[in-house]
Amino acid sequence: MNKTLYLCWRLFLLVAVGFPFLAATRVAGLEPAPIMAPNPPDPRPRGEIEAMLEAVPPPANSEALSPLHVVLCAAEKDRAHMRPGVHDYPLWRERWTRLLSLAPGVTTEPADRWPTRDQWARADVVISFHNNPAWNAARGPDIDAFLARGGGLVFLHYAIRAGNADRAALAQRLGHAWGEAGNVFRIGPTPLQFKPHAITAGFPLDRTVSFIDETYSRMIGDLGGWTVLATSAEPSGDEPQVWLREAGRGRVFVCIPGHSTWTFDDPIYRLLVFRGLLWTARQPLGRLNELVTVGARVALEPSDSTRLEAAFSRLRTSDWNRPAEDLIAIDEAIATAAPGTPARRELESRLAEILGSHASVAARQFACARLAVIGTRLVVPSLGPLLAHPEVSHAARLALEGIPGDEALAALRNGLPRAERTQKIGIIHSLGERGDPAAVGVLQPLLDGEDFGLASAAAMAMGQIGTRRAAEALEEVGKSAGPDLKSVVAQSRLVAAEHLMRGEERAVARRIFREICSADSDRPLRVAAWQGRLRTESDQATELIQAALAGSDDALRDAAEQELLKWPASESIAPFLRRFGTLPPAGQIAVLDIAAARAEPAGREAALGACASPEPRVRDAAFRALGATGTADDALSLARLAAGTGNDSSAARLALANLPDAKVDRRLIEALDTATASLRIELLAALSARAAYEAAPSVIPFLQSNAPETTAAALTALGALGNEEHLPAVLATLGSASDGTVQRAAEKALGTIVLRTRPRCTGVLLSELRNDGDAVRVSILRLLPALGGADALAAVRRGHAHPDAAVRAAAFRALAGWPDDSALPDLLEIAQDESSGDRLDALRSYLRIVTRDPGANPDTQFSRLEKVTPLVRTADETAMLISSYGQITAPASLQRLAVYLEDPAQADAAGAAIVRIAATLGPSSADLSLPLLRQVAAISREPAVRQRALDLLAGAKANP
Amino acid sequence: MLHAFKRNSISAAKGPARTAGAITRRRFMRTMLLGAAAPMIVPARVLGRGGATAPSNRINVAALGLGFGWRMFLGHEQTQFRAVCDVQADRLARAKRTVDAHYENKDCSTHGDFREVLARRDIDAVYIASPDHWHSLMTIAAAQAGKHVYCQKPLTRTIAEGQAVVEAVRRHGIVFQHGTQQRHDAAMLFGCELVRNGYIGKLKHVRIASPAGLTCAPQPTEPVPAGLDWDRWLGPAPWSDFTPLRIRAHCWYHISDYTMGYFAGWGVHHADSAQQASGLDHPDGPITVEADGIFPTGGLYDRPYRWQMHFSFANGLTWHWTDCSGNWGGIGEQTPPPAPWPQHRMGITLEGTEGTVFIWRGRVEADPPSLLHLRIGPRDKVRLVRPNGENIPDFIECIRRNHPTCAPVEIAHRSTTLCSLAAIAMQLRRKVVWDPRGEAFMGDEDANRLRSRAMREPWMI
Repeated sequence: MNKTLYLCWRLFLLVAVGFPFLAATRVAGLEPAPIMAPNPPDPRPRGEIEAMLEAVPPPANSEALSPLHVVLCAAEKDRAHMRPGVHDYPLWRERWTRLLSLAPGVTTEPADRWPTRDQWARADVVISFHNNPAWNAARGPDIDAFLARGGGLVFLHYAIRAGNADRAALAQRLGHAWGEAGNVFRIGPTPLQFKPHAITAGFPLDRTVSFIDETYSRMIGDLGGWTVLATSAEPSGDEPQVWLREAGRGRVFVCIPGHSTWTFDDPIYRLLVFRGLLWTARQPLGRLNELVTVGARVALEPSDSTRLEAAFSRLRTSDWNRPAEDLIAIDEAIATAAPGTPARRELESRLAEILGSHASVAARQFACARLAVIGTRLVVPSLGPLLAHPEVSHAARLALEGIPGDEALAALRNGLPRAERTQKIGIIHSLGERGDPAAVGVLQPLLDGEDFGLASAAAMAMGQIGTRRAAEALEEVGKSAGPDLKSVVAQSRLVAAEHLMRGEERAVARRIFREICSADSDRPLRVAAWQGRLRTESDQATELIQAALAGSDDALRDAAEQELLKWPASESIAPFLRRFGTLPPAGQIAVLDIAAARAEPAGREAALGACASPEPRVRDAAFRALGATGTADDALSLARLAAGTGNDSSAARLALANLPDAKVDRRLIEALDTATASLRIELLAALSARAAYEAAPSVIPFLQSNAPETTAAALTALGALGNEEHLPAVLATLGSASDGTVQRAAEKALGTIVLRTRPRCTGVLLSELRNDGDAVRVSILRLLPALGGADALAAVRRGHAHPDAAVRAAAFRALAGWPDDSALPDLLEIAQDESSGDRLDALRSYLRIVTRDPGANPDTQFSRLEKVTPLVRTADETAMLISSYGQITAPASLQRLAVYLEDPAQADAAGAAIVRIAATLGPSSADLSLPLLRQVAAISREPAVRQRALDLLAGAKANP
Repeated sequence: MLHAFKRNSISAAKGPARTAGAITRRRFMRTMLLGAAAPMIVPARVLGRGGATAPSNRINVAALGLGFGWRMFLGHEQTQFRAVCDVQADRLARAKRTVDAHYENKDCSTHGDFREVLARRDIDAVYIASPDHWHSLMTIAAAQAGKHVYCQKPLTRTIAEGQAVVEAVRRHGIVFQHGTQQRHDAAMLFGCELVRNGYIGKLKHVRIASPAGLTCAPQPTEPVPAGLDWDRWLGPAPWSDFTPLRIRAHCWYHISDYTMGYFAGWGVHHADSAQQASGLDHPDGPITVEADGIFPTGGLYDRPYRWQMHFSFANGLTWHWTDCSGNWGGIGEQTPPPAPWPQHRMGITLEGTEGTVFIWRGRVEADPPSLLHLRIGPRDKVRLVRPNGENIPDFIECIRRNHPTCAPVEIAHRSTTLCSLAAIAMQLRRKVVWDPRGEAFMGDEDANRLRSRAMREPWMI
């Protein structure tokens, strides 16, 4: 963990753990595990935990702690404990792995059933919670060796089970083992009497600490030589429940409680086990204190109640734009109060009080929004009267829509007559939203009323209710409604029919759909009704779709196409393909598009035929379909079309690139030898577009083609398909190329293969570098910066000493573009060579490499710049250097730049650089920067730089 | 040509017919007269599919809500902007000037009520860039009127609204596109293909980061400015007094009355892309969601401004979604994350058993890098549809070809649901268990109640 992260961690702990108002520290994913068993223990009071934590404070300097690697070993839930909430070994491992990983310097890893040999070797502590399914005497040496090298061993609860295997051997190592008929367990209240020890510092010793878990009694083995930390009073006497001992250089800690999942969220249990774990690892016992309350079950302190009380008090006067502070206390309380608990009921009651008070409208909205989540029939009487209230009717409905049961529905129905028109519409909507069949009688009269708004709202609600009675009422009103209401009623009838077709009224639904579909309805209604017909007349679906595709109603044809696109893959579209020839062009396009989208092989024949259609749009669709359904037999035909100059060449090319048949590539490869020149180029392009990597060897012969276009096409294909094995062939072509097109294609192919196969290709390239001619060398040298590495750099250095000027130039460019700082010595050497024509470029590249990494060590950067500082000769070079110093945030840079500030020709550049560094360094370098900033403010001719310097000076004065 | 005006069901049923914002007979007549004065335009679809783009055969578009991006349509010769609709008069006037200047005419009509636009028979498609709380209402009304819809993200505020939108779009067979334009990003699509074709082995874990939210001090209540129809702006959202930040872009994203919060307002982009890359578009979804959010303790904004979300899927895949710092618009404060909360790198990192792919707009990175030089060919199992490079041409082409877009409503709903699940888990401050097929929470009645939210009267869907 770096220092920043560590400081953030400490800050977090200070805020989250130390802050007394927090009930428990929340970390995503580490909330207390759900309570899955009856009668859970009460959460621990925070004060009790804090007293125990204070007894062993965390180490003062966490950074100095040694790393601690913990292996958490669990197993799947065992058959004897399948019910939830107990013996949940996987959950324990998942949660405690995350939990322990939060501590600085602690690393974790999971183990399954028994640690592997590597895990035994890596672990500082192995902590086990499972039914020990892997135990037998052969495992004993693992434990012995681990303890012998100083490891810490922690066994929790059922992990001491030996089953029928070598019980004595396990008991010998753990003190006690579980596994005979005489062993006794007891589930329930588990009061533990702790004994004095460093681990139990701060624990009460004059009384028991109660858990609700499980004890073991009359276990196998003898605890002679062991230290017992806690006992429980059992019928057989005081039975040890927690014990430990030193075993050679190692240590063992055993804790019997751990039966219930909630125990692992008990902060006192965590404190006990964490200290035990740390004791076995010989670590400071307070090292994990911070984790004790993370996601643990900690009771609200009085301060939490006070906070909640204050939030409710402030809520009453809360305003929309100036909401009361800390209302989230109420949401947090709601989240932690389980349904049916007294806490939940109390919150419900407090929210209901807000409704009946003179609280602001914003407050009542707030309360209703919460009651929508936790409200019960108990608050319905408080909500009902609000329905008629113009300002809070909406909020009341929000709550009532959420509250289950007839009481809420009755309140809505009863509220309807008392409400004003606008609120009535809202209530009607809520009745529809709840699908209240009893509301039909209340809503029906509104359908016939003169108020269009109420009537249409009632119609829509009736549609949502969707009973037969509602549908009949809608049908009736539809007969006499005006055109506006008729449209709404038709929509509502559709919705009602969809409800009915899901129930036992399918025939009624079918009749509604047919009526609306056949009537002179608007397009959207027709489409919806047609879809309804498909669902209620599924035995006629094929005919309905065929009719739509063949018909002149474009709305239904579009709907038919959309329907077929959704058909399951198991349903063939062959019936429509059979009648393909009878369809109008738009219908043919639809069927072809469906065949393409579904990639249905049966579509191939129709597509082939339609490729010759006189209608261009049909041909386009046919090629799309052929691309999805065609076979290898179509490949060459498509290639020929693509190679031609006809209107369909682009569509054919696209189809060829998409043909799904696995044999297509082989067919294209076989045709390469005998193809005409133009067809061969098309075939090469197709292989490339199809990513047919296995075609690469077949492409190579065409690199030697007499036709430059073919060679270039082959190179392009090889660039897309080849690997490092094909680089020699590309380089050979490059070396012998006299045609510019071929050269460019070869260089591009070379680059593409290198980028795809790096670093595997490095060896091949370096080998070729030794063999090939100068033109090839140049090309290879250009690529070496993309590869990097010592071998490649050595090759570049050799290139820089090559007799050929072009090779030397390429090598220099490679050095200048090298991806890391390993080329700096070479660049420095060139920059020092007064006679070199590359001196200036070398200097420029050197400066760029030094300054390009913003995260680099400034001192290293500075020392590197100092090496070239004596080499600058001209004003331009000096300006470059000043700019580079300006990018290095180090006091030494300021000192260096101060020198240039004295030179009138460089003062402006130096001033800008000084301002930049001073702003970044801040007060830490004030002694150095302030005098320089004053100087910059006085002499710089750049107004912006001058102003920035003045601003920095003013800031320094304000914050000395 | 005078078109018969027929009120669609939404407008008729839900509008306060005798209130200021309602469609009155006078307004109705004015609308018709506007239509009469304009050149004869018929909807593109009556001329059949795939025809040439003569002026009379362009897709006629209207903007409902003049938020982000409506000008995108102006650049496409296959579309013709016919109408703009907003509840802010100054914005409306500016938009009309822009449109008219583009077409060098005076034809663009202005509306304060979206139902007037939907009642016009010459409009083929609408672009919805209203605040989120209007999305479901407008989309459903548009579907009922047979208009194709491009709706800005996120799709809705609640899961129930999303279900209703999906149903309406399906029922009326319109073309729908969600404003998750990362589905048109070639680099991101290539990254998705690498993942889904197994080039990084089995996908195990996804790390997502999207811009963090904001907090904001309490604001003064101010008089509603002239030209703003505040009641209409609020629409189905709870009533509140006016303050300017409530209507400002990237500010209402942080207020629960209108949205789920910035993790949805912006973050749905990445949720959507992560879903696409994971191959979990539809109908699958997460089975558990744990989400921890930090809520403001006061001030105007009330949505979480920092978050950590864990999603787990039935196939063993896990996602971890964090916020990340950076100024993405809006007025307010951005606070640093509380240690030890991690912040992932902005974008989507997909970790497989044999490699990693990172995607972000215009960018794909891979480990090993050689993956970037692969070609996806016919033998690859998944070849994602390459839309027409940009979202608007793709939408237009899909209307012409009656094809689903690459961001159809079902996927829009699934992507938005990811945000809804996180919002609910954050509100309840506990892990929630989700049945993605049944779209219900398992064993959590509180969470199930939060799937829907009543609209303020007289608005209803």
